[in-house]
Parts: sequence; C-alpha cells; structure tokens
Amino acid sequence: MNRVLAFARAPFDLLRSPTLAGRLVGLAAVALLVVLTAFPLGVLFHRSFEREAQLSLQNYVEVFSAARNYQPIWDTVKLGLWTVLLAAVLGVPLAWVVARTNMPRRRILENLCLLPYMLPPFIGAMAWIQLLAPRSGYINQLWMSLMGTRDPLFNIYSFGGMVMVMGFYSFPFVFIAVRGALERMNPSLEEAASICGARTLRVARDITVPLVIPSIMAGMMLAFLYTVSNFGIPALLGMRARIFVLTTRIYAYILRGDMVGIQLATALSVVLVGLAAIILIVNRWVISKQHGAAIISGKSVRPTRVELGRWRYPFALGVYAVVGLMVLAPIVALMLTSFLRAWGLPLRWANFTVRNYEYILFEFPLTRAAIQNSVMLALVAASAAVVLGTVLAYIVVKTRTRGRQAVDALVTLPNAIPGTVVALAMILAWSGRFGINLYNTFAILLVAYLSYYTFYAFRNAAAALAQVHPSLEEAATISGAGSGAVMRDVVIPLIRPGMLAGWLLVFAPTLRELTISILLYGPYTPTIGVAVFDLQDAGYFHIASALAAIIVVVIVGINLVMRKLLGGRARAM
Amino acid sequence: MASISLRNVTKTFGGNVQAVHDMSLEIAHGEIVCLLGPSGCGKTTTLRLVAGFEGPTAGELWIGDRLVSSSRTLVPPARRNLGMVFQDYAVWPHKNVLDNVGYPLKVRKMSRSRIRKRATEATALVGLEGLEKRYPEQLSGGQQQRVALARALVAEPEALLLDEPLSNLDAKLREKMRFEIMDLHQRLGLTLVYVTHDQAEAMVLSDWMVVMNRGKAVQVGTPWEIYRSPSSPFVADFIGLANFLPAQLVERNGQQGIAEIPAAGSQRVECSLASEPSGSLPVPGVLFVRPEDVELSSEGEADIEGTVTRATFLGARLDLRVDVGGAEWRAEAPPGADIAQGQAIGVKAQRAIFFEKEEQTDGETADA
Repeated sequence: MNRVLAFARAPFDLLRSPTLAGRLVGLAAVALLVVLTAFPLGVLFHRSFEREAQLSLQNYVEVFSAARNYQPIWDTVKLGLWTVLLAAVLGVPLAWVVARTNMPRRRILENLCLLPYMLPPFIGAMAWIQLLAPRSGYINQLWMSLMGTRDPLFNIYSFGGMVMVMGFYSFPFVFIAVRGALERMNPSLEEAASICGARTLRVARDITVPLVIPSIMAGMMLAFLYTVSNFGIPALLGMRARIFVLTTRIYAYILRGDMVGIQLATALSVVLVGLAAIILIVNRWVISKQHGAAIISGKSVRPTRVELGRWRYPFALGVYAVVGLMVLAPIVALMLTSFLRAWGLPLRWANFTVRNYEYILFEFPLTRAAIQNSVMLALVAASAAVVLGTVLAYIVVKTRTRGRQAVDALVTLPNAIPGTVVALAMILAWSGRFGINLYNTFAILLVAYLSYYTFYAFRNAAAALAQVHPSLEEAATISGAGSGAVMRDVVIPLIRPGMLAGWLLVFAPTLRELTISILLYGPYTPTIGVAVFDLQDAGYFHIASALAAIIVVVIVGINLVMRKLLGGRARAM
Repeated sequence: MASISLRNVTKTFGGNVQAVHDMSLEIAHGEIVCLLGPSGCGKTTTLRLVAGFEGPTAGELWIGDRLVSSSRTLVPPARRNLGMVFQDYAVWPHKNVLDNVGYPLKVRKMSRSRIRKRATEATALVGLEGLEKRYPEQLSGGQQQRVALARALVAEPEALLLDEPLSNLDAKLREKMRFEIMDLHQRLGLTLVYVTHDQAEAMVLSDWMVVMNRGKAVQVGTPWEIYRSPSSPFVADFIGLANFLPAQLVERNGQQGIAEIPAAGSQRVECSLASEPSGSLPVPGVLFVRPEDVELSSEGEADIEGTVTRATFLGARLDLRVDVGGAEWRAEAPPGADIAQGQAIGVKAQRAIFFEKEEQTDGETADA
C-alpha cells in the first residue's frame, strides 16, 4: 500500500524536473508504463471477481469444484517439482565439473550448458518429438530396429516426457547459480578446513555444500517459476496426452471463445499468478536466511580445482556424452528434419533437399507473413522498449523521484507473470470494453511484447547507468552543459553498450515469441512462433523444422554478438 | 574572475541532518582558500553549494555581484561559469584528452577551430602536450588529474573549485601537483576554493583556510594563525601534532597567564589564554603544546625529568615519546641527536596555550 501511495507521488516529483523536456519525457514514460502494465493487470484481477457485471466469487467456485479446472493446478505443481528435481540433478554436478575440476575443455562444456537457456523451449519440445515420438522418432526407430521389437523406448507425449524436456531446458538456472557460487567462494574457507585436518570429501560435506545450498535453492526457484509459466512444452507434449497444466488449460478456455470460458481462464490466471507469487515470496525468504551470501559474493577468485589425474579423459568423455545427448542431439535432429523431403522418410542422401527452406522463405504465404510480422514486431518492440526502459531506468537510478521503487516494481512485474496471463490481460483490456479495440491487430501484439519485455531493456540500462558515476554528469554540468547536452554528450554514449545489449535481449525473444502471440495473433498477424507451432501441431515437422532451424541460427548469432558487446558480463546473463 | 561570498548559508538534508550550519565566508578575487576538516564535516557540501549542485536551505551565495543561490533562487551549475576538479577526476572515458578538455567550449558553441586552439593550449598548460589524442584509459592517474584540471580551466572560469583533487594520487605526485596548482594560480590569478582533509596540503596552498567540524566553520585564518593559535582543542589536534597536558591556570594577566602541570611536578608554564576564563583561579583545563615547542635538556639540567619511552627516526627528525609522571609528552629532536629509549631527559614547555576544561569536553575534540 505504501508503494502505491509513493507511486502516486512520482508525477509530482517528475514535474519538478529542471527542464520542460525532462518533465514531459519522465511523465510520458511513467504514464505509458501504467497503460501498458498496471491497467491491464488490474482489469484482469478485477474481472476474475466478476460474473454478469456483478461482483462474484462464482469463477473461483467453478475453478475449485470441477476436476478439469483444479487438476491442472495440481499437475502444474507436480510438473514444477519433478522438473526442478531433474534440473538440480543435472545442474549441480555440471556446475561443479565446470567450476571445480580440471576436466579438459571446460569452456566448451560451459557453453553447451548455457545453450538451452537461449533457445525457445517449444523448439526444444519439437526437436525431442522428432527424437522420441512413439513410432517415428529417430531414437525410437533406432531402438526398435536394434532390438527387433515393436515397442518404442520412450513415449515423449507423456508426463515423463514433459518433465524430461522441461528439465533439459531449465537446468541452466541451477547451473548458472551454482557455478557462480562455486567460482566466487573464497578458497581460504576450504583451505582453513583442510588445515584443521579435514580431507577432501569432509571439506566438501562440511564447508562447500552448506555454502552453496542457498544458490542451489535460488536456481531451483527460478527453474520452478520458468516451468509453471511455460506454455510451449506442455502444449506440444501434454495436450496430445490430455494432460493439462494451468497455461494450457487457460489457453484452451480462451480458445473456446465464449464468455464463461474467458471468465474461467481469468480466474485460473489469478491462481497461476498466485502460484508464481508464492514462489517469489519463498525465494525472498530463502535469500534473507542466507548466512553465506556475504562470504560468497564479491570479486571472483581462483578456486582450487580437483585434480582428476588419469581419470581426466574418461571422465570428460562421459560428461560430454550426457550433455551432448541432452543439448546437441535435439538440435541435430531438428537440422536433419529440416532437410528431409517429408517427415518419416528414412535418413538417406536421396531424401535430403533444401526445398523446405525455399518453400517457407519464398512461397508459403503463412510463413512469409509470419517472418515479416515477427521481424517488424521485434524491431519495433526492441526499439520502443529501449527508449522506454532507458527513461524509466534513469528515473529509478539517477533521480530522487519519490515512488521510483514502485516504477521499478511495475517494470519488473509482468516479467514475473506467465506470458499467458499477460496476453489474457491484454485481451481483457484492449478488446473494446474500454473504448479501444486492438484485438487481432499488430498493435495488441506490440503492446503485450512491450509490457512483458521492457524489463530487459530497463535492467540493462539501469545496470549501465549505475556504473556512470554522478561526477561524470556533474563535470559536464559545471562545464556549462544543459540537461539535454549532458544526456547526449555524456550519459547516452557511456550507456550505449548496455542499451544495445538491452535491445538485443528484447529483439531475440520477441523474434520467436510463442506464449503471448498464440493468444493474440489474428488472421493477418501470424508470428514465427505461431507458424512453427501450428505447422508442428499439424504434423508438417519438416517445414516447421526449417523455420525453427533458421530461428536457432539467428538466436545463437545474436547471443554471440551480445557476448562480444558485454565482454565478461555476458556470462551472467 | 570574481569573489565568492557565503552569507549565513545553511544546508539541511532530509529534514534534520545539518550538513552545513550558518556558514559565512568572504573569498576575495584571486585568493586560494582551503576548506579543511575530517570526513563528514560538511566541506564537500559547502563546495557543492558554491557549484550549485545543492541549493541552500537558508542563506545566500554570491559570485561577484550576482546572487546565485538562496532558498528561493538557484542558478544552475551550468550557468555559473565555474571550473571544478572532482575527487575521482570525472574524466569522460569515451572522449579523448582534447575532447574532454574542449567540452566546456563546445557547449558554449565556440567554433571548432577555436575550441581546438584553446583546448590545445590548456592541455599544454598542464603539461600534457603530445597526449591530445589519448583516451583516459591510456593515461595514468596523475595524467587524468591534469586533464580534469585543464578542462576546469579552459573556459576561463570565474573561480576554480577543487574537491580533494589529489587524494587519489601517490605521495610523491601529490607533492608535485600541489606546487603546480599554486603555480597555475599565480600565473592565472584565479579565485580558488580547495577542499581537502590533508592538513599539509591546506597549509601549503592556502592564503587562508577554514577548519570545519560538524557543519560549522570552527576557525578561519591563515595557516600560520591556525597552526600557532588554534582556537579550540579540536583545531589544535586536527592541524599538526599536539600535546594536551592536564593543567590548571594559577595566574592571569590579560591574555597571558601561568599554568601548573601537576603530573610534571607542578611545573609552571607561561601560556596564552584561548578564551576568557569563566571562573575564578585556579581554573582547570588543558595546556596545548606543540612537540617542537618542548625544550629538551640533558639529565640533571632541567627541573622536570621524564623517561624516553620511544624514539622513532622519521628522516628529517627524531620523534620522541617521553613519560613524565605518567603523562605522555611528544617531543622532537634533530635526527642525529644521541637519544635512546629508556634514557632520562629534561623537558620544558616553551610555548603553550591554555584551554579551559569545558571547552575540551563540549564535543569538539577531533575524531579524525
């Protein structure tokens, strides 16, 4: 409540900015933020308590009394728990190998472990379908021909399949958190235990593990949040097996198109946000209990590494086999399929072709329109997000505007909320009920992307601004520069790399966005994500794969550029 | 170039934190004035009030005959025509030396060729000729400092403000830059306000200086006056080394008097009085004696004797600690003096100032 009150003061403080331009820009940015985020989410919350224009709890009563409504809540939690377990089992040992052993080629392993982090999970789900679809998947075919059986090894369209793919795409959260903790831990803490007489394993048990547990927990929380928010994987793998989680159930209700469907979807959305909020609160609480935080944080040090001795190479081989299967096999499958004349044909030279690429790029109207739309959306969204995010970051970091923490919270909020919910909020707010109807237009996609992704531009601009010492601006002021000139000549040039990184961080995910787009696209506004999803769902694996392969290449390229831009910092992203 | 005048300036942060309290200063055109004090004393805030980065809560600030700050008006820093050197230099990392130095001229919309000419001159003035195209990351700390100085000077400001400009340099370079700043001041005849916590720096540079503590100017005067006649134990302690010896004033004759030091066998010392004694004689208090004012003599030649507890060789002198009846006296001797630890030695306070007791306990002792 205090935050809300403080936020109400922000406009008054912004009005006191020394220049007219400063006043206008600041107020416009905050107003835009309210329109983009606070208003639609407020509408969503309000509508969940509404039936036939009356305040009512009916929606929630229906949600908690029908199995097909409450079952998804339970399945979402179950999927989340199993997934984070798998993510921890994969992420912790891999982080240890990278941070604390002398295994050869650790940098390559590290990059492989970060790869799933940048790829869209629905493309991962597609690729795993190609590997483990019950009869036609590459691995299942290989298994059946080797074993002479007609039973496939594994059916990817199952709860187990969802957990597996989800785990493969969320373990980087645990990996990044734990690797960071292990690398930054002061080696003297462990050395002190050795001096006290503890042997290697004893040191690990008594010192190392207790100190990294908070990081493991933090990584698992993020993985959980990621899992319950995800749409692509449960949509491609679960819906066929009639397994619904919250995101897919909401999607199904919205697709039904009637009023009650929308109302139930709204109530389920609030439940989903509540679930995410509980995780964030628990996360905060866990962080506040971390005694080790102060010891671990700080500048990076050279950690002591475990010498693997003569087991070095066999060990590396084993690790690479596991990670290669997990990370590279699906990408290889995707690439292979994209060159096949039709899905299901044996992998023979005669069956390979570049036809699929020609088709999606030059002939097929759906994919051509999708590419055009997505490129345009990503360009506009990234540029607008950088402008908006930078202004807001300046207000939060560099001014003493009251309510600036509320601005910070409001920019960050949509990113903590599942995209499905953000999309529904946009439908409720911008379908004409409040005088503006953007439904089925390019604009509603843009507004939703901005609401959801401005956070990335904001965070990068804020980090860059925090590096600009106030005296650099003051030196320009005392030199006689007005506030416009200070911006143009000093601030903007200094934060340009951060702004560019922010631009790319918005551009890359919006280019292939699925979760929001699938609820908001109209007949004339398909996006790449939607096109890939629909083609895959309709069984045109080879065409979907070609489009997905292009996306994978573009995204990896963008990430390489970003790394160059940010230098060492990119590793933390 | 102009004078700077602070008239009863007060600056309060967040309602009750008084950073600067009722400060009045008249800095004449062409003077160098140092604001000196421990960290948190308000010296930097005072400088930022002059620059216009902060507005006063009460009082007025004049530069020349222009009212630039009061509780109602605040001329922005950009329109004050001042030069400033920041503690961390604030040299812009994305501009080369010439662009950094030329920036004040650029915002004054000077022609490119004139900017070039004058920036090159200013760069040469601080001894950086040949480095015009370098970027800050390719410069040493001292060189960046000179860039900041050139940038502050290039637009011929009304006055130059320096905020602990040398505190990030090593001792040798600091010494050198001090004299260069004095040199520049003499050549350009600038009004110069200099903030520092380094008393040696303030002594060397100032025409006069302001010793600050807790937002107040506790003493204003020339370095000589402040060193020789500190107005309070705080100033005495903050500037140079000081002995504070518990004593009582037993005789008084105008501003002079005689005090007895009980720990030193009631040695009687002629002293000057820092203030009018409040009560009748004898008045309890402390006697302030500079180490160099302690006269040393061989064993048996003086009334009072102590034991040397430590003799430290400091290059130009020998620093001594002498135990006199349980009180420690600091004294000094020429570096070659034949004085050893444990030796008995005669001591006599030559020149002393008497501070009354309450003055010492009113919370103004140095905590720096």
